Amino acid sequence: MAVEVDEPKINEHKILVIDDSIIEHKVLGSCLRGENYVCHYAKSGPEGIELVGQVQPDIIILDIMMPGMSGYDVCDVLKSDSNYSGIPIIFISASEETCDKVKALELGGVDFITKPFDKTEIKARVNTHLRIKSLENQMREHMDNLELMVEDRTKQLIAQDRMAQIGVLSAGVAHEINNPTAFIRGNIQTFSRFWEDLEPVLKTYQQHQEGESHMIPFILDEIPKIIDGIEEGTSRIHKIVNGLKSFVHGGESQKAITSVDEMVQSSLDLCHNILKNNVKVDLTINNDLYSVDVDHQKIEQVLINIITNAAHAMEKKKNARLILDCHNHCDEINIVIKDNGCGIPEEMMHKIWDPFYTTKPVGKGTGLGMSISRGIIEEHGGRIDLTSEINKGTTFIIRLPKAQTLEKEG
Amino acid sequence: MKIRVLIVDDEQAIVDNLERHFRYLGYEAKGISDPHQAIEVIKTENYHVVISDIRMPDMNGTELLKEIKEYNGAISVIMITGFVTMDNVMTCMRLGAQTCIFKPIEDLKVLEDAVGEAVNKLNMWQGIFKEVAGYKELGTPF
Repeated sequence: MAVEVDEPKINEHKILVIDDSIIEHKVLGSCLRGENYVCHYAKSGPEGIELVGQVQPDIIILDIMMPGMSGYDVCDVLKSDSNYSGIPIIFISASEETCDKVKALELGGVDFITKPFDKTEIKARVNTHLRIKSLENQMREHMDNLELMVEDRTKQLIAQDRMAQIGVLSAGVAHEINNPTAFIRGNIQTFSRFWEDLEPVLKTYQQHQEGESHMIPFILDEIPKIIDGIEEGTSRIHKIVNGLKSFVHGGESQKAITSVDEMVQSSLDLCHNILKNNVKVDLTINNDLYSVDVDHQKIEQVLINIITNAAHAMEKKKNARLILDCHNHCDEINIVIKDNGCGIPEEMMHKIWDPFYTTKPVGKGTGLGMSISRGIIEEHGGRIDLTSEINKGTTFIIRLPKAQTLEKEG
Repeated sequence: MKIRVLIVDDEQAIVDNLERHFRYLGYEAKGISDPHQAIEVIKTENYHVVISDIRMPDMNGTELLKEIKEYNGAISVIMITGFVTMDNVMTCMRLGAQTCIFKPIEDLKVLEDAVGEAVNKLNMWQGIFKEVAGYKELGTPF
């Protein structure tokens, strides 16, 4: 059982003394009291190990010569437990043998003090080791922070790189597809004109050849439909190629410090037609909203995409309501876009980010919207989060980092 | 006077398509897929209108435009193009291209109208020449 335990105050260091001699406890206790140290005591190795778990000391003063479990053994146990291996251990011993000192240090101790010890000396050494440990902790915290920052930045760079690669690919694909689409479309238009000349001739032939070729009437009917079908196909190809163009950068992104307020207003204006008839719009923009460093056209493209999808989801809804809320959150701005439309089924939720995934009828919409939108937001160092419930509605949250300004706050 | 139209595009299928179309409409149409040959052909045979792609692997359409305008500024040059940079398009305007039409051409009528505009311009000048020459019948000014 511990002999004495003082109540720790904030910023106080906890020292654990493991020594079979109670006299040593008292001596050490009187040396170390006065600073903001709190001393805990154990009379044996096993007791000491148990106390380490309970007290979580900042430093351990460990006697070597103890009956049963020696200080070396205690050190071994503590160093092999990852929870406690970081606690600095100062060995104390009556021995002055070099080999003992070496063994203690090799086992992982940070210092070796010979008994009898000088009071000021032990205090100075404890101070030093506590300071070293504190610096070590700070460094580890810095490293962890750095790692997090690097992880974030890497994700951002990867997203940017992926967008750039897709951009290059898209430009190439778009160009290559444009040409054959052009001459398919051009040829079918020429053919359409030829048909204007051909049709009356076939009709006349057919009139004079009653009973003969039964396929001619059928052909007369079908050729215009064939022409339409080919034109419709090339039209759709054209739309998809145009959709791909959104992935392409015409050089560097035009980033600038922008007001979120303006972008949201602008996007709502552009969606006015699709919203005006049956959707009630609730817009909340907090005062003192952070600015963001973004390519405003691209962000507006994302907002318009989400608002348009929301409007479509609420098409059959009686009291359709679109809620937009912009507020600060930690170092980001959050743009919440919430509709009370048909919602997204759970099994579809992860698919909406896939390029070409669309629930729209064939020919309407290219399905590129959400994948492009996410790419744009990630490129800017942000994220899009999404929750949805069938028949209740869908909520998108766009998060963007606040702009780094050079001026001091306030 | 039959209007002569030359089509220049590195894609043979597009050249064939447009040549066929304008021949059907009554023009004297010829197509070339080698832009280097094009300038020679223009110098040896008379063309009123040239339709040319901008992005060609061997030669940029704007270079062809420049050479044509240097040879004879009265020849109308209509640019058609798929993917193109703002720079290229502005160059076309500055060098005097009549217009720029994007591929895939939604409706060939757009191209037909552009050629029609070129013809109108030619007819206008013909009218002026007639006035100046005092109603003497002129051959082609080219």
